[in-house]
Amino acid sequence: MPEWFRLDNAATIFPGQNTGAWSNIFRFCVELKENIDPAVLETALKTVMPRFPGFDVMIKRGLFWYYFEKNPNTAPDVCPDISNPCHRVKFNENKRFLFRVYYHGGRLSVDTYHAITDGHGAAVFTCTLAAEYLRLRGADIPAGGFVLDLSEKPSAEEIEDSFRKNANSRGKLKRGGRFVYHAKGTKLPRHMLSITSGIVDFDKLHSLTKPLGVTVTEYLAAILLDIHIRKQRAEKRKQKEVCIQIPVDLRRAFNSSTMRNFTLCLRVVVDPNLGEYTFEELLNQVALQLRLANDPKKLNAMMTANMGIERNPFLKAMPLPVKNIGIGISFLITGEQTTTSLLTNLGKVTLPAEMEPYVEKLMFMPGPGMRNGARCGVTTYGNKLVVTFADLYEETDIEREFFTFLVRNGVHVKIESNRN
Amino acid sequence: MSYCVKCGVELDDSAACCALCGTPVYMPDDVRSEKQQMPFSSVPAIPAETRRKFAAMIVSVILAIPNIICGIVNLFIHDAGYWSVYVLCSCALLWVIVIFPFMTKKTHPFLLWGFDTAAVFLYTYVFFPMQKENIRNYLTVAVPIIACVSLCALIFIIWARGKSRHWSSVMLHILADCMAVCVVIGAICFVRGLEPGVITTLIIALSDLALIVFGIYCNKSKRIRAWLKRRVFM
Repeated sequence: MPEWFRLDNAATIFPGQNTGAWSNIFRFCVELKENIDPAVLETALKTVMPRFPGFDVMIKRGLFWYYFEKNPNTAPDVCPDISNPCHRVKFNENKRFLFRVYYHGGRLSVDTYHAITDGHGAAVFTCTLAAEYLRLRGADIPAGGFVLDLSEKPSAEEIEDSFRKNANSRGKLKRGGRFVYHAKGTKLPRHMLSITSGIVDFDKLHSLTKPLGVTVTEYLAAILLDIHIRKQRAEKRKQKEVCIQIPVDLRRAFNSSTMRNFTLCLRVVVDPNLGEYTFEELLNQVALQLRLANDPKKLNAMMTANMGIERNPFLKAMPLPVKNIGIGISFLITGEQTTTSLLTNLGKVTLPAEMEPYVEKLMFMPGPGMRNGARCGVTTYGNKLVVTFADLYEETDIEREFFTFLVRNGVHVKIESNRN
Repeated sequence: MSYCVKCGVELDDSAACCALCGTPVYMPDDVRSEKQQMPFSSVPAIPAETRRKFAAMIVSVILAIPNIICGIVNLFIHDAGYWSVYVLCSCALLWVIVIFPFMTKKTHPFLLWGFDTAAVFLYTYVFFPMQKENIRNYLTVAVPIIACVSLCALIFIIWARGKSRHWSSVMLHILADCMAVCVVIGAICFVRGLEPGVITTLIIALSDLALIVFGIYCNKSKRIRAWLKRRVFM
C-alpha cells in the first residue's frame, strides 16, 4: 500500500466542486433483519479498514493536484443515522475520513464521497462491513459476491487508477450538450433533502421488460424521461431537451477489479420539439441511445478525452487554486445544466448464501443535485429492487408519477420515506 | 399493512400518511401505538457553516502585513513624502468595503451603507491633501459626488429591500442613479467653468434619460415588447 496516491481521473473534478452547500456524496445501505449494535459495528469497521486502502485515506492539497494520503486514524466514528444523509463533506471533519458510517434500527448506511470510490466500490465496502458485523455476532459467513475476503491482502489492482491504465484510444469523444430542462419546485431548507424509497417486486418488473426487449435500467430511464417531458409540456414554456444521465460501470468492459472510481456517464437525450413521444417510442429511444454509446471502443474514446485534462502539459502546470476555479466554472456551465436528472443502477448485488437469511434489503441513493430535482438510485437484491429518489424540492410529483406508473402496470411497490 | 387509496402503493407500517400524495393513513393512532420504527431517522445533522469570520480575520492579517512593511520602509525612505499613508488608506478602504461584511453574522444594510460612505469620505479626505490639492477642492468636487452616489445607493437599498424586483426595473433604477450622478458632475464642471466636462456629462445624462423613457414605455406597452421580441430574437 503506497503512502500516498493521486486521485483517479473521475475524482479529480470532485474536490474542485466541493462547496459549503454541496458535495458529491452518495449512500449505500444494507438493511439487516436485527437491530444493529453500534459497539460491534465499530469493532467490525476497524477490522475491515485495512482491507480497503482506498477508503483508509485523507485528502491533501498539493501545489498542482489534490492527493490521497494514508489516514493516521483507525476508522471514523459510527453514528446514529440522520434524516438528511449525503450532506456536504469537509475534508478536516470526521477524523479526515471521506466516508461516514451510520446505523438506524437494522440499517447500516455508508455515505461515501465520490472522490474515493463509485457505487460499486461503496457497495463492496458496505457489504463486507455488514458481513464482518454478522460474523462478530456469531454468524459464519464466507467471502463471495460483494463480500471480500478479509484474510487476503489488498491487491495492487484494487487501488489502481483504471482510467489511466485503459484510456489509450486514438480517437476522443467529448461529452457535451445543450442546456436542458430542469424540474422546479419549492426548495427544502439548506442541507435538507427528501428521500423516497420504493421497494419494487423485481420478478414482476422483469417480466414486464423482457417481452419489450429492454433492460430494467432502460425501462426505468424511459419512465423518468416520460415524466419530465410531460411535466415540461404542462408548464407551457419554451420546450427544452430532456436528458437523463446514466452512469455505466466499466469494470466488466475493461476487465478491471479496482475499488476506486471506474464509471462513465452516458446521456439519453430527447427533444420534445420533435413531436409527442409515446412511452414505447421513448423506450426505443433510450434503448438505442444507450446501446449505441455503450461500446468499449466509444467508452475508451470518452475516457481518453476525459484524461485530456490530466495529460495536457499547460493544464498540468496550473496551480491547484486556479484549477479549482476552472473546474468550478466548468461544472456550472457543463455539469447539471446539461442533465435533467440522474438514474444510476448498481445492478444485482450478490451476497454469500450464508448471509442471505440476515439481510432484508439493500438501498442505493445518489446525493441530491444542485439543479437536478429528483435523482434516482437503483439496486437489486434477491427479488427486491429498491428505487430511491433524493430530492431537493418539497414537491413529490416526480416520485409519485414514477411509482404510480409501475403500480398501474401491475408491479407491487412499497414506499418508505424520511418525510413521514 | 396499509395501502394508499390514491397512489395504490403499500405504505410503511410507521407511516402516518402517504409519502407520495399526503393522504392520511386511516386510524394512524392505532398504527402508531404499536411503536413501529420509522424507516429513516428524524434527527437532522446541520453541518457547521464555513467560518466566515475566521477567514475574514486571516485576510485582515494578510492585508495588514504590507502596511506594516511599508510603514517601516517609509521611516527610512521618506524623500517622496509619507507615501505609506496611501497604502494604508487603500487597504483600510478595501477592508471596510469587502472584508468587514464577513466579520459579522448578518450586517444591517444601512449600517453597511453608513460605514462604506464614511470610509470613502475619509479616504478622499486623506487623498486630496496628499495630492497637494487644497481643502476647497475637496469640499466642492469630492464631497458632492460622493454624497450623490451615496444618496443614490441609499435610495436603491430602501427601494430594493425585502421585495423581489424585476430585472428591468432594477436596470431602470440603476440608469436613473447614473443620470443623477452625471447631473451632479455636470453641475460641478459648470461651476468650475470646465466646458468639455459639461458637454460630456450632458450627453451621457440625456442618453440615460432617453433609455429610461424607452424602458418605462417598454415596461408598459405589450405591443412594443412583442415588436422587440420579434426584432431581436436569436
